[in-house]
Amino acid sequence: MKKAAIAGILAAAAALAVAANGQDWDGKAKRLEEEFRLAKTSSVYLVVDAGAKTVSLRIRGLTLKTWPVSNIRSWGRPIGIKSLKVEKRTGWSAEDRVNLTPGRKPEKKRKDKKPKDIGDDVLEIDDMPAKYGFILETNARLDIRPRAKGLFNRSAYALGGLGRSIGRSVRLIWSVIKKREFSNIQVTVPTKKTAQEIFWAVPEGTGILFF
Amino acid sequence: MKRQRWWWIAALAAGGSLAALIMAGSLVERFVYAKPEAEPTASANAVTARTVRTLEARIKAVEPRGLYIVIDTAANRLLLKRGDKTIKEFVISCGSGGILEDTSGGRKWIFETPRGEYAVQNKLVNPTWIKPDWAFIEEGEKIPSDYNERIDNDTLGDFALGFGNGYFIHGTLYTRLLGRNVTHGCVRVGDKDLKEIYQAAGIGTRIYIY
Repeated sequence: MKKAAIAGILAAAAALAVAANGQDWDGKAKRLEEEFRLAKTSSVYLVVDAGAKTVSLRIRGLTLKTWPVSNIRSWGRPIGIKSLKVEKRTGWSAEDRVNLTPGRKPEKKRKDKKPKDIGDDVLEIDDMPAKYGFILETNARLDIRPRAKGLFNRSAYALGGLGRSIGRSVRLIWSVIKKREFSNIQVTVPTKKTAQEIFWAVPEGTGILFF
Repeated sequence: MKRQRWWWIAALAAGGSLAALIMAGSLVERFVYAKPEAEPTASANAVTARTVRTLEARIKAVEPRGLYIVIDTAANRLLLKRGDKTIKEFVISCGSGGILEDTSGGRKWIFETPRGEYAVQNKLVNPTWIKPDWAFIEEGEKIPSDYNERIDNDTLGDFALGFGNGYFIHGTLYTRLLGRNVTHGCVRVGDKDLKEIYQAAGIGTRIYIY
């Protein structure tokens, strides 16, 4: 009787282990399938790994750069393991580019300038926004923002929490009324520079893989 | 006294409404948005360790083999890499992102270094730059009808590695500006570093730009 009970427990444990393994393989396979879809093109793609709390830029399966993430939050329809294309970016537009006037001879002028004085003339990482959103396919959105630093900024962020909660609730209720579901992921990165680097590296049309 | 009571009632009603709104939102999230959409995967049937290994091998197969070049246009750095190992890092200059418009011809150029995967297509010693129209427009000069007036033997340095669509990794006269985004889309490198890159990279060497 005892032997039968032990055998039963062992069999159940084995079945559970197999089931657990099966689930894991399924998720992993789905992630790899999605990544392969992006890796077989010649474009860069972004990987948002909620488990590892990292955002990495890849091409052909090769990691070009990895940024740490302070916090990832999501609301609306969970995206799950899926890759989506960036349709639009907020916070910066192509009109923010420097217009070069013909005949301005920038090369000759730069020759006499100190490297630190050419900032107005060119588009560089410091000109990128630190708070922005990537509008993705299927009514999804990825928001990137740097972590609030300093007592004033942190207090302002905490106070804004109530406003954000109300805004989210209104949006959730409205989406049900309008029968138009949405997904929203907010990634908080440690520094302003990190947010700017991600914006620079992800132009419109880039694929983003979430898992 | 009566007025004060009304204030309290109004404040409580407003607070209660907001709390109800937030609660309604969380209920919607919990009951309407609770589960991710069921999406059948190609691997839905009998996913095993073998399937995963096959997929991993497929991704591995598209990764570059041997030496490759990575260009970070934000940091203005060029890396010579093999596998995960960085062999050497160089300071470079990438595209300025500026726009030049030809008011008379209605043409427009964006001076940006292209992103994505490329390969070294040709290697040149003492390269000659055939100045395109924008080079004259930017300088406020007339576009020459004589081809010979476009030939410039001094600007590109001792070597150039072409990676398509007229883009090159080449030398520079403006070494002080290395590390800044000042070019018309090409990748400028200091003379000594350029020689090293030229010697290391062969035709077909992959270039990854971000």
